[in-house]
Amino acid sequence: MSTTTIKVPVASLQSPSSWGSRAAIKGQLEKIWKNYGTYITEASKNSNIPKSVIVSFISVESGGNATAGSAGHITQGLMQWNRTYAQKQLQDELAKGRMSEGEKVILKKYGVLNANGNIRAVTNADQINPELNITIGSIVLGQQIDQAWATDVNGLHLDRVIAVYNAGAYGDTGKKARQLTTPKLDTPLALANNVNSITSAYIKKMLGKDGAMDIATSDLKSIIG
Amino acid sequence: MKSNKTIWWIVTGVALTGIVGGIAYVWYKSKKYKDAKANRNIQIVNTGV
Repeated sequence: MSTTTIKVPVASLQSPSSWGSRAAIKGQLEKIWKNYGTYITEASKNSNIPKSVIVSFISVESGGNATAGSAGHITQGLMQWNRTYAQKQLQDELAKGRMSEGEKVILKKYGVLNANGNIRAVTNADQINPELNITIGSIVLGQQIDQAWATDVNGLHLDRVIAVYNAGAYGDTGKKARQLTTPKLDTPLALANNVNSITSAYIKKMLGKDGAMDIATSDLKSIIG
Repeated sequence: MKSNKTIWWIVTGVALTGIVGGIAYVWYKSKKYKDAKANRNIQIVNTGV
């Protein structure tokens, strides 16, 4: 078992006030938990990603709106992953022996994984299905968490994962997150201060004071854990 | 001066070592990635800072 510890909130990072007050974010997280806590708990168990991380991604990505985004858009849904890549990402997870039995059961339930062990193309209807969206979102997130660039001697850098999840791996922000630039932006503060404004705000909403993870692991610790 | 046969053995030995090492490296990386999910244990600590 490989244990890594993430400390929140990150010193000197503040969730943007424009995103909402601490009370407002707390209310949003409570609502997400009320609506999707069962699926988040299930996804957390299947992926070994803490519930507080999954609920926080949902909060920042969609505010808990299962149909967030334009109707039919390739990233519509709770965790806003891109369905263009989802089939390949699920195929990889299966082929590399990483897919948990619980994930297989859910994907089979909705026909994404068929009896022959094949993954079909992921549709917009799949994306706006909360259970599938959270299941697939946690798989995609987990694939990024396990990349070499996400970890250093200090453990897992969730800031890097957030940046790549939000902006992709290959653009300017992705290269900075994957530590391919000089100087390296190897702290959450350095990365947040040197990437595009949207990704910067995303890191602060997730890891900053009064941000989603701060609230999920303090005010709502008794219900989210 | 080394004979052609000796040189052949050295070159072959280096090449085989490289190939075996490469295969072992790919296998190790693949296994590490495979096991990473099942072994994942992320603890979140709120420091209140």
